[in-house]
Amino acid sequence: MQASPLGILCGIVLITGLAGGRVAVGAETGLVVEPARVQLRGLDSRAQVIVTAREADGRDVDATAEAVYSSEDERIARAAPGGEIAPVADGKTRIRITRGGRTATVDVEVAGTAVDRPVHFASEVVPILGKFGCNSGGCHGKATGQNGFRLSLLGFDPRFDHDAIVHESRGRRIVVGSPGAGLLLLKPTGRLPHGGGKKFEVGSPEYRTIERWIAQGARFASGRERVLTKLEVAPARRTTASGAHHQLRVVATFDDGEVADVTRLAQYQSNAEDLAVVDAAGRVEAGSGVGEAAIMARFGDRVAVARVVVPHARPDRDWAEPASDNLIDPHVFRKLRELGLRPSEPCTDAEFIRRASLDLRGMLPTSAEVAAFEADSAPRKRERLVDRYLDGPEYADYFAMKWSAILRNKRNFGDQSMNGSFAFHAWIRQAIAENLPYDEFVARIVAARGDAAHNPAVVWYRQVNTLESRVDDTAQLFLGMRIQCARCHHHPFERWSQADYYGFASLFSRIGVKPGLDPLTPRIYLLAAGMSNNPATGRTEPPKPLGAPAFENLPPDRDPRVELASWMRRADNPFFAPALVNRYWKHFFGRGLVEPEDDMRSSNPPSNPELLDALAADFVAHRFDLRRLVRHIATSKAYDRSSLPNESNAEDRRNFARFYARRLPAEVLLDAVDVVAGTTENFRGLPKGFRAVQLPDDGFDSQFLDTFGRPKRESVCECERSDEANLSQTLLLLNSGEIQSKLANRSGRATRFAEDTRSDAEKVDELYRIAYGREPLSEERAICVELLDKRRAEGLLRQGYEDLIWTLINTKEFLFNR
Amino acid sequence: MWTIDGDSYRSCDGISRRGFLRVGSLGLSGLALPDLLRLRAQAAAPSPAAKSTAVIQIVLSGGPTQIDTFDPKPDAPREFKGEFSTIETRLPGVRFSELLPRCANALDKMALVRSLAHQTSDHLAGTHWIMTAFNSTQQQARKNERPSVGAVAAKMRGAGAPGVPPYVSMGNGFLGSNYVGGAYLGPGFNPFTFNGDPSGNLRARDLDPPSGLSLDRLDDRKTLLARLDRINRARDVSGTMDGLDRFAQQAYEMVTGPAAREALDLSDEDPRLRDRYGRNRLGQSCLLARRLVEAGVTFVTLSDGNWDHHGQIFSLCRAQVPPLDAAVATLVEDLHDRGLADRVLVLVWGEFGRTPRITGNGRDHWPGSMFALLAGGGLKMGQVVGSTTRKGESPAERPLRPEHVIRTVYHVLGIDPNHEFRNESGRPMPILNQADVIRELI
Repeated sequence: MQASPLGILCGIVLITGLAGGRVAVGAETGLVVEPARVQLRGLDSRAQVIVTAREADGRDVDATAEAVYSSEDERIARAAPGGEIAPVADGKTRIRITRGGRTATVDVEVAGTAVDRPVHFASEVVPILGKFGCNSGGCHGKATGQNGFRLSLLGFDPRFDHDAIVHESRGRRIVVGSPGAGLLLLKPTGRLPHGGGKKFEVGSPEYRTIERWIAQGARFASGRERVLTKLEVAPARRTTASGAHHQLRVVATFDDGEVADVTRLAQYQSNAEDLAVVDAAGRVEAGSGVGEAAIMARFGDRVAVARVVVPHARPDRDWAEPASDNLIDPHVFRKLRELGLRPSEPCTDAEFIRRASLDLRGMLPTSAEVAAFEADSAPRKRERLVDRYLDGPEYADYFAMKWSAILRNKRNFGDQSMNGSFAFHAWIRQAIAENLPYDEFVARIVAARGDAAHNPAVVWYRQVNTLESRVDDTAQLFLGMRIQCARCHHHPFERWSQADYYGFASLFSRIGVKPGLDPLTPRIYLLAAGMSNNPATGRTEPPKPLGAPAFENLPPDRDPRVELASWMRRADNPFFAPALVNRYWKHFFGRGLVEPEDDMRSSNPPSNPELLDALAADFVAHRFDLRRLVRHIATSKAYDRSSLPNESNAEDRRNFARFYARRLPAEVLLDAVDVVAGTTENFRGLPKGFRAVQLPDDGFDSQFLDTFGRPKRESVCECERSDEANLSQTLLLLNSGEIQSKLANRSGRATRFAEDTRSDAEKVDELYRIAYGREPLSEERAICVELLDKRRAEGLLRQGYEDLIWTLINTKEFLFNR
Repeated sequence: MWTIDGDSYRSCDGISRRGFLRVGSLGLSGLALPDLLRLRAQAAAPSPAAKSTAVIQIVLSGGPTQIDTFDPKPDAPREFKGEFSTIETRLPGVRFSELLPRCANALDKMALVRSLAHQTSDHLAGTHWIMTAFNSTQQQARKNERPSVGAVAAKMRGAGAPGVPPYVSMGNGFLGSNYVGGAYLGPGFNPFTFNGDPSGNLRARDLDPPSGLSLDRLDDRKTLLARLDRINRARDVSGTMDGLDRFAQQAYEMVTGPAAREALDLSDEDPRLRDRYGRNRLGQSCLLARRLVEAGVTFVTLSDGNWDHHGQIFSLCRAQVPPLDAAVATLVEDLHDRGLADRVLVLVWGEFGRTPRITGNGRDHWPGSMFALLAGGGLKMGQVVGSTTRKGESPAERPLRPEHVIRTVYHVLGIDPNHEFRNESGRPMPILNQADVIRELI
């Protein structure tokens, strides 16, 4: 964050801040207080101020906790350490705030302390139940409730909650005539045994709010029900050094005009706890990581997000940005400079070709390819390599595998269903080979009609065969949205309600299914009518895309799925293009700009928003050209960083300051093992030499692939592909007959090398070129030859080569794409 | 065989959480693999306070009859009470079927829950329920939708000693090995499955490397790998690679080290003790289970036989109950004799009970009343919790569900019953729905 040195200004400058207050800059003091004016309504209201010290070097440092607060008139209002202001009686006063010899003031106006202000159940009582976790999924909010008392999850259904509190349990929960005597106040204050423990004190503001609400008759609404229209959190973005703190302030605006400080009642959650954690009072502590975190503040049915930038403790900005005309690079390197992270050096040519070949083709480069690439002295050879790979059939093989998994292409009815799954795979592969624009690819799947014999894309509807899975898969796969939560309750971290969910479901409510030519593969046709029922209201919802107007009154011959596809490919669709570019970014970098890649929501923002926007905009502007996108990514200077860290970026895991080494996917690893061992797999029913990456569906038993995390294609989540190391994998490589039989195969490499008349050293060199794409170091060569000598002396040279090949495929250098 | 290669630890795992690497207790933050491995390594580090308890769960697959075993109804009408007479037990007024003299005599070291019930009479759903604490949402789910209790134990507790797996599943029960997997915890928490018959010729050879590969060669490979990897240490930056080292170390220890091999070798057990367990698959499996928890395994699931006695129930009980009686009683006594009773919990149950009323010459599925036998684990023994009605049709006192038993198992294991994991879609998934510990046992 660059800030200009502080100018000397006179007096107080008012800057527009959050609703509910303007920012006072006591500029000559260098102390900034937000808001400048506090209005408190009623004795149970509170207001949080944020105090920022503007340092001489222009940095803003939070001083809310350290500042000293004093009220000019304690009979009107008091200020607690930490900057929370509480009313005492109606009137006006000022709070003086001092810090390091600098002073600022806040005007406070208190009103309504003498009147019994009506308490709103939904906007004042329910948030208390939320703040203390009463309505959380682990407690009374779960579907079965807790100890007979059930609340709506996270308070998204205040009417339900009101009914549960007021009408259930024979009135034991509240006693209007004696507000403190009902279970609702006895249990959380620990005056009766409570499984959830003591939650708040008798006489606390929360207690008094509930007490007054009960005394007022425990009504759902006094007069008109008011609606929360806006939720804001400040500071919206703040740079905070590792280990330092800053205070948040949350303000709610209601449609009756009230603007309330709800800092005390909001709930907070960090999306990256290594970067920043937040406590119940909205105080953020920057952690040990480096990067940008998002703190979600939730109040009512709204969320607001504050960003926290945590730079490196010893920032290194003294490096030159690599020359690049790639749209990605300025964004990545600007971010690294802001965070003070020095990028790693470029990788070597040998490393680059291995990396690019693994990521674009799912296979190791041959030793001849490596040699030719290293010898190539023409300019832009890395870009030409990427282009060549993109034009090759292996690119289509590999990305067809990727898409087949998340499109859940499965032989789910045994071998009889193979026709469909093979045809769908071939269709996907063809689309990738032809570089079918992505919007068209998706439209043909989502709006697929007819018979698999003529249109294999309908096979998607065979696997994704329930309304819920169609809704969930479409949202998660193509829009990056996990909306499953909204099937049963309002989404806890997003704006999606059950109305949104069932409106989206109505897009899929007119799908008719008949047996097709192949009895196990459906024929998909359009029903004349059909909408989904919203269980929250009991009414049907018109078909409606997410966050867009409904398609009202569609005629019987208009397929809502076609309308959906048209909405997806609109240039202003906020979800479709970002979801895909983020998914592809992750393919190449091992981590999405939004992570997980299919959980894009305001409370989980991208680590580099400008980069995601730029990539998405380019993707839209160039007609959803996947190859162009891949080319951009794979030829960026960000992608060709070495995986070797430097002092500055060793801990970086999210800003792409270096290449993050990651394990080879199961299929790629199996093929690579076969290459080194000089063997081939025999997949049932397929010709010899078929690679694991080319398998058209899931119907090929392989203990190896399962152990190394081949997805079972049972969910739309790419996370189903496990990249988690586990003991079973190590045991398989260490001790299985499967591996040993490859090594000992009589036509395999160990046998051939044992009979080959070249020197052991030459053969070791060749093994290194095959497995790693490089020559061995002399030390490595010596170690390998030493083993071979020992085995030769024992008369077991072939076994010596088996041991050597086993060792190479078990090294980290082999198991990782780096 | 416990061939620790690819063929044998296959299990019916659910959709795994896979690479979706998060730790439930850490909220929404996406932890990278290295973070996770580091956390797991920290979690795995033995802390002085770490509990060393273990569980041996014996699943009588198919749904064991309660009236003909642990909850006889001698006063019920003839079409209910069945053929067997009853005998006294160590506890005054508590009677067992005549087929269970050894357990009757050891009841002071056991606690019997008679008032258990749930709501599904489907083998698969019932098994899912007792293995995971949740009914399955899909009929006939092939794999568990939630992590099995053993997988949770593997994740939260790990193994108690190096060189042994945290979680072992064995036995030949007709459904008992169906729902042993880790579901969204990932395949790393599936059990090591052991399908051999320890009453047969089970020896340490089952841990041997594949044919033609001596331990010496394995050792050479390991040394070579360490030397070559060390040269490239500079690349080992992400922490991901460190995790592999640890797994490799564990794997070597299992294959080359003595712990697992010795645990599997029953030959050094006193032949008279082996006789007491019973020279049959169940008896020797119980003995093996004891050796496994002694060696550091945290959770053993042993699934037994076919207890789905729709017909010929009395003759089948005459054949199957006495070996069960001997195996369970000996296991409990043996754990006592070795001072392990406070550390090791034995749990014997099935997916449901059987109809109190005899139909034809058998009994059908009956989730309305079923039993669970518990022993050890530091719980209060020598008692019967709850009772069923006169004809045994439903709980009369202290109605309990399988969740209460599992809550008690978590209590013994020191696992927070409110812990939540996250599934593939990031949804918090509690390991248990609301259920109190069975307070009589504490």
